[in-house]
Amino acid sequence: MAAATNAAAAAAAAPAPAPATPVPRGQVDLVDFIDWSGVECLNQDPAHSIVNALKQGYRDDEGLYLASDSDEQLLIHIPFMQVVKLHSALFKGPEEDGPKTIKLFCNKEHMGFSNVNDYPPSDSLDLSSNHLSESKPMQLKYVKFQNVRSLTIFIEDNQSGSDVSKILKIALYGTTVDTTNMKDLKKIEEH
Amino acid sequence: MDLMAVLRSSASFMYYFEIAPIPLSPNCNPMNVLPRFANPIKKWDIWLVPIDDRTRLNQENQDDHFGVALEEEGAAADLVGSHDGDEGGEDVDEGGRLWSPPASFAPTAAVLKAGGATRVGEATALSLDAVLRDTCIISSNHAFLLSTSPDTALPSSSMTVTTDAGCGAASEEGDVRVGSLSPALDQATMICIDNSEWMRNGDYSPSRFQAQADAVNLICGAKTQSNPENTVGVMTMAGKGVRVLVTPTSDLGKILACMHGLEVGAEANLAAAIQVAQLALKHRQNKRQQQRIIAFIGSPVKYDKKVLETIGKKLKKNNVALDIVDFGETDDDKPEKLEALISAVNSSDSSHIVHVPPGENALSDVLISTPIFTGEEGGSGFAASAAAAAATGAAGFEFDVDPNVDPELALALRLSMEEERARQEAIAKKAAEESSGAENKDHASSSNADSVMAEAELASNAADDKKDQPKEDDDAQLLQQALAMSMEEGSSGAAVADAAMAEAAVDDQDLALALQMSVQDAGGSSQSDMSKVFEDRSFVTSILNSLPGVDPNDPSVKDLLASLHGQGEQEKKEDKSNKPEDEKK
Repeated sequence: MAAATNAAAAAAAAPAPAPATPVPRGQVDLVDFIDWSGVECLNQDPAHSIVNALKQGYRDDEGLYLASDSDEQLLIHIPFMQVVKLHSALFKGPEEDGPKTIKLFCNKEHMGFSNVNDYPPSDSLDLSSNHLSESKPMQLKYVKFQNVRSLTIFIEDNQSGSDVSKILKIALYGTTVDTTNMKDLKKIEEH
Repeated sequence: MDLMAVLRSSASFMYYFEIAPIPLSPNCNPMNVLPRFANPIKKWDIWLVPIDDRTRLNQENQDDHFGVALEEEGAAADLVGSHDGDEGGEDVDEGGRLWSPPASFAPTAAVLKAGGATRVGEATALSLDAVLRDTCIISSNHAFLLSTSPDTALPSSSMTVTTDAGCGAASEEGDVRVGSLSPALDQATMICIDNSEWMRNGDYSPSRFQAQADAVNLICGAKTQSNPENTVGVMTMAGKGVRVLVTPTSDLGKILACMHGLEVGAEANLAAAIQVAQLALKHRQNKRQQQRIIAFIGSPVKYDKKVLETIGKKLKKNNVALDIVDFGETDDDKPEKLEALISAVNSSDSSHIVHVPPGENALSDVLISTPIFTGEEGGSGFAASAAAAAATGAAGFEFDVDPNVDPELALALRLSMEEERARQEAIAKKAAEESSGAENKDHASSSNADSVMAEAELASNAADDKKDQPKEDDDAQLLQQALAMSMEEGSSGAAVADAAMAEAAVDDQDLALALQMSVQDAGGSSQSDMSKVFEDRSFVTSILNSLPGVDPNDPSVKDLLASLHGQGEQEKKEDKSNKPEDEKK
């Protein structure tokens, strides 16, 4: 699969991720395992799409952000190329318009705003403006995220209650379950 | 088109294009002209610049300001591999990589690519790609930037810069000039067909329903052919209830087959249909596809504006675009309601509405040139060409020559037509100027004469006119009278003449026409001006041709023209004979 080799190559070629965000011990940044062809973000402003917050390189740029369109809610669906365990997640955003209540769902395909309340979230986070600015990964209920094929992130509201939510960066940390990519993983851990 | 937006929203392997003016100074770093990013140089490591500007880049290289390493390396097909060994890109020569474009990529532009990943910020290494061939995609005063994330290696396979045939849709001057460099985005489309009772009406030929079916077929064809990954589904809004005929599929046969044997009946349920369509789109296989609903609405809209707006907002929130074809029934507030719906859905101009009134043109012909058919990118490939063909085809050919078959002939015909028009206009203008000049002289010479005398003269002129054509039939005589009156009236008696004309106009159409002409001309022109203008037969004929409902070959019109001609000459003679009289006095 072309995407897989690309991601691996990218991982190999890429220098250490931005120094400001410490990766939790024993975990890796799962950005390289995201299946980009399946990434979907509902209610995103087409001019400020999910890529700005999720993709390597773009997400570290202060000028690029993900913004909501018709109201403050966002629904982000992130499938992975292989099964992963999710350890922690990092959300970075402006203090005013950054996300506040975040619900995380495991392996829920075809979620929409209409049925987002039909399922209990695997975990929910309540971010303060401190969290957003200091960009420290938030630890998740690890046991709930042992077999993650896809992750759905529901941003319910934002800090100020304004109509537009903005997210500068989303980073997911965890480990892969399959061992196929161990060689690559070691390489990243060296940094 | 916001290319940035388009590219960002296509999920995998993003390549940002930014277009910036070529910097004026050769020492200026072109990246600085991008206002959108605080630190853009981090972002951009590939450049596409117009070929003409290679000299400038060469200069920059010499100045060693930009640090461009122009090197014509052999094609490095495997960029990933080359990147791996290139940590930091300290070596300019090593850092510069050459990207060999796929055969399909052929703009007249050079591609520059930054080499070293970490040193891009310092702009240490750039390499110039081989010059690409043919088709220009970039205007000469714009540069093209293609970027990747500095941390991401550039996989050769994902060099999807491949310009498809649809490139080159230039926008206004001074704006971004881009063709669709990105491959056209995949779309999943649900088409809502209106099969309510209102579709039996025949005001669209052959019937509303059939016209709609044709349009649907056309859209399905265009959608599936513009991108192989596009899918189209079809559903009906009326009948026993909203029914999905085909879920989104790329199989055109399936789509067309489902259109047969549809029953017309009951009322359309727009709100339910749109929501069902959205549900069908939500469960699409390929999440990369953009969701779009195309609704044909030919029946009255019974829903409240508020309800529609709520639905619209919901669609927008779910990233669904909506196109509406408003045809058929035209209630007072139907267009207004639909516009409200569209404006609620619309996000960055992705949703459109088209109002199609009944008329000669088939529904599909009207749609083909609209954004519903051509898509946001201005239409690429099939859609654009089909649209162009249909647009000209539907319009009916000028001079009976199909411009597509023989463009040169059509052009020649059009040019000669324009030249002739210009010539005739020039003649008329000249004549008008001459006559006004002559009149001024006249006026100057007779300025001392009594004004009463002048009026009397005019009256006698008119009387002479009548005597001169005693044997004309009644119509022509009336015409002559009317014309004479219209010519006579300088400043006085306009109102009276108008009244008389109005009466006359009721009786005879030709007469009315002549009157209309005379009134039009009487405003600015004088008597002799009129006669001179009427002397020019070709001009008069062309005027008659341009008037609606007039056959220049009609005998009565011909008679009129002939008489006018005669009259003009007589008046000339009279003018001459009058002058000596003036002088004597």
